[in-house]
Amino acid sequence: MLKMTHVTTHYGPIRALNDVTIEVAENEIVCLLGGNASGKSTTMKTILGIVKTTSGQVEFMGKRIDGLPTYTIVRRGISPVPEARRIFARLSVKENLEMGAFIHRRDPGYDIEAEMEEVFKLFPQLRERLQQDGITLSGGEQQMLAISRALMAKPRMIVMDEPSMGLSPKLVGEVFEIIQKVSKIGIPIFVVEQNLKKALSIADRGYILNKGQIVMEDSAKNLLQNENVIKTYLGEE
Amino acid sequence: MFWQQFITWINLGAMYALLAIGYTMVYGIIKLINFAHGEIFMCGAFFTWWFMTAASLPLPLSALIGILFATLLGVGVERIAYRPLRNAPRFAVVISVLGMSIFLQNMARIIWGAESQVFDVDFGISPIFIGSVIVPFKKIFILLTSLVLMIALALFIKKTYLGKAMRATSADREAAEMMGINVNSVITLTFAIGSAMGAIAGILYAINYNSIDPYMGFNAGMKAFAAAVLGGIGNIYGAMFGGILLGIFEGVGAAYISSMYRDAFAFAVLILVLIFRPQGLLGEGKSGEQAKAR
Repeated sequence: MLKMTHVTTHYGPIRALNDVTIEVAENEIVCLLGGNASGKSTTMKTILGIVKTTSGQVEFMGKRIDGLPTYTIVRRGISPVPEARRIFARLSVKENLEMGAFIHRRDPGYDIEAEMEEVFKLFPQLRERLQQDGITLSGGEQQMLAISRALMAKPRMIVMDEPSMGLSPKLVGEVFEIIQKVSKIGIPIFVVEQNLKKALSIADRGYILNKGQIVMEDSAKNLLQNENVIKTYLGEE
Repeated sequence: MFWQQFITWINLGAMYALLAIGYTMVYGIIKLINFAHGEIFMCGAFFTWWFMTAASLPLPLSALIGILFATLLGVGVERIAYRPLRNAPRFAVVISVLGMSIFLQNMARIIWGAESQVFDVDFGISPIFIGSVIVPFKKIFILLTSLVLMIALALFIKKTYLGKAMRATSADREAAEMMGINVNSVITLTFAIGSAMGAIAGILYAINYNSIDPYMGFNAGMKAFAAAVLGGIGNIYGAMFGGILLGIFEGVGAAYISSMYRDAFAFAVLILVLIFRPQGLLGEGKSGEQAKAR
């Protein structure tokens, strides 16, 4: 579905991604793991067209999307749940959801009320907060709103950047459960995470990124049992 | 006597408010002051005057064409002076926009001359008496027009998808783009609305004072900028409120202290606000917003 092939990206003279190849198939949860400054966020930004590729290509549903502006990529069906959630602080929860539905505003077949009801099935607590400003929500609620906002776009795929960031361990667990639920609706998910264990526990496959290069790629199960991974990234025996 | 003057102050304030809206909307979305906005105000008045005198068109039609031209000009300013510098250091953009302002002012001088022109409008409607207060019809017209426009804008921002997209873009441009919002179109729309408001303010100003000149945008622009800061730059309701308030301050100062210091009162307000409440009356301030976001 999403296919990055041999992508290299630069920030000025600095190479941020080096020959990265990643694929996400339908109905998959794929995670991209790595430490700080490994290039995880750059990978995300490259998929979304915020950062341009130097070489290589990004394909979505068989069509090239690298070089397209971000809003076009989003309109093609990739909905982001950005790092730090990026809720519109002074827009109400309802308006935040409406912004998620922005691309369908002239689509007569799109029923915004019905879509919101679908979202409330996953996140019933958002219903009570509809009129509140986004900024008044707690970190966990903001994460839920960010996921809901992405779902409002009726995406073909969701890309998430560090959904666990800044959340308590309990909430992190909840967020990953929700990611699984969303995946069961039939939306493939590409998630960038620092929290290896959590991410691998829900993912089908994983890639490990180090200094802008993919150093390992395997099923989540195998990665969780791989001694090198455990030693280097999980900091355990 | 007080109420007689009060009407005049509110009138002036309403025009400042309309002009301040353009400053604040543009600031809200690109975090930069549009120094050429005063020139859009001036050009709105001049284009209208031009079609009225040279083409002998009636005021409503001339005004419509004037607003349209000034709006296109405002959008053009964004295309030429801002967009190519979207990722440039802020200082470069400030210089390019100041250049735009100087260019437009001098263009107006070349086309229409440096002297002031008579902007002659007679509604043919006799003044209205409210108790002992005599209100010329043009003042009522100015007030009503401003009021209707401000309410319409507030509704647009609050209720429509595009209005919400504007607020979203203003809050977080990159996140807005991630919602599939074409941020460049939103910026163009913002300049267009701001410029139209500014042009209308210019026409109302001309109707009020019956005189226009190529420099009228500078002083009015500075005042409206002060009004926008007073209300809280980036906040549209703040611009409306700040504009009216500034009109009253200036009027009270001129009426009761000295009319020679009319401008000084307006800018003293700006300085006081910057010292004591830099985020403006309705503004929340960056630090507060960020603290809450954490």
